[in-house]
Amino acid sequence: MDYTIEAERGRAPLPPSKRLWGFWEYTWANAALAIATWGFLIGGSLSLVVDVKNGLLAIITGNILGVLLVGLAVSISAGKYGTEQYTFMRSVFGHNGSRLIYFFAMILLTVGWLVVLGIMFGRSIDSAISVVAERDPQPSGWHIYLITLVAIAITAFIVAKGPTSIKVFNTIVAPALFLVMGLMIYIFLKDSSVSEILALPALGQPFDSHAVNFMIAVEINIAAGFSWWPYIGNLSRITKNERVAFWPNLIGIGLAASLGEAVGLIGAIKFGNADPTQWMTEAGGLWLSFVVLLFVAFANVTSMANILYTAVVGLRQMFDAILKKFSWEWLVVGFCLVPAITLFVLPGLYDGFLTFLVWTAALYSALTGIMIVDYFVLRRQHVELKDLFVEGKSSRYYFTAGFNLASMAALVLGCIVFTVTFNPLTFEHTSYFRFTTASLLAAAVSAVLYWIFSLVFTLPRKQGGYSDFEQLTHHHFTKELKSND
Amino acid sequence: MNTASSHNVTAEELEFQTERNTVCDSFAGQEGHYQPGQLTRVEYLAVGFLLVATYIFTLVVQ
Repeated sequence: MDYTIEAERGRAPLPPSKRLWGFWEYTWANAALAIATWGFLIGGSLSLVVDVKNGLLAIITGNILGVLLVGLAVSISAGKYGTEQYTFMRSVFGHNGSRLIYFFAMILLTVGWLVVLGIMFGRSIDSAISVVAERDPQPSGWHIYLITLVAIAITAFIVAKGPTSIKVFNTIVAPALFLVMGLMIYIFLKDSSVSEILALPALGQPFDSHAVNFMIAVEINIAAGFSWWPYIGNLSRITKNERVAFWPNLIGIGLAASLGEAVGLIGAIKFGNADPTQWMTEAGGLWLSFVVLLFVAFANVTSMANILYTAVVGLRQMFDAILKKFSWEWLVVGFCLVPAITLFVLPGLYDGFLTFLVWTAALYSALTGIMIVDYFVLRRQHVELKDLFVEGKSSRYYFTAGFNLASMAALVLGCIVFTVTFNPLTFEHTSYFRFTTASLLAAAVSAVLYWIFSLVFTLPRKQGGYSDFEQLTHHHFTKELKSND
Repeated sequence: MNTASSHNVTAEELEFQTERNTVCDSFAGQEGHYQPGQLTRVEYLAVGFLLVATYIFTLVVQ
């Protein structure tokens, strides 16, 4: 049994000597993951809320806030201990609690994105054909469903082949997407100056208040930043140390995602359609549009393969006892049945994807706040690794029947605070939303509540191994004092 | 140790668990000491400053 392979499967920590990535390798890996087609979608959605200038400001600020906070919650511990967030989460939510969180944080998100990106694949193909056939695109035609199913099937095939085939796609698609975005920027600037582009108005504005519209745009981008929560831990654990695990997120994910969103925003406003598969039909000449749309279609498959692979690896880690009798291929196929069915149950997911994105932020913002408090405040950055891999009452992280009730309660309350502050369905909001945003408020509230619940409930019961760390830090502190004397 | 797979463990699995425990022990042995590449207080302050400055910027710009 190869230790490194088992560690990659989440069954053990990866020691620093077996980690691959330095600063720039991780930056590139991050950028390659972030430079994805969903950036066009998010940017396009922003065009329905704010103009180009405010949209660009919202993209930069929202991504900085979201990516930094997620990095604090996930990447630093992953870089230190070589464990990804789903394993690490056992110290926060308990073994069973982390399984429950995994289900909501990973399965629902992955299924949602697979449907959204699959439909984007379908619409891109339809638009590419419409360009050549000189007909109007039919984004709601029945054939879109069929092509989406084909996209899910292709994705399943690639992922079933294993990580090597995904790496091949990533190696080709990520640099090519950078080129496509550069080409788009060239097309934007061909007949307009920078100042003219910055002056372009929004396609629509949901509310009269400029401040509220701007903060909704910031909220969408914080949500986009938070949506890296399920993925960056798996990458950060392969880095050599904490510093390498943390700062490249800002450069790789922050900048690359911002670039894609900026192109999506400007393209949508310039060509008058929020859907990138529609405005791209007008962006270039006949054959240029055709080639770009075909490329975007297949780039979606690469993004789908990345998230599906991460989800199935996590699924196997979390439910090893139940799923170990199934082969990797059958797990992939079984997982893909869910988005294939969801496509027909929720056909409006693509057009309403912003709602989906904001819903996920409700969960990730609360998770982020709780994980930051647990690791930095309650545990002072010390976790007993062995107990992350031990099931049952002998583990420090058993809590109550495998659930940390304090973190579970704080999580639920954080999500409630989010939805009360900003309704993801209707975008109705409270008066204080423009000052707090929903994500930042939910993260802060869940963090404070978790801290209080832990002090009142968990620590007095000596659950979670927190007292051990108090003793450890006290021991080191007194030892240092003595050595100073 | 009562691990998830402690029942029906093979010799190979036991060997893996032993290696895992060794790795975990080596991590535990380094706790409380500065480790290479560990973020410094200045870096944490920089993160805090960046977060606060960005947040204030959004309030000013709106």
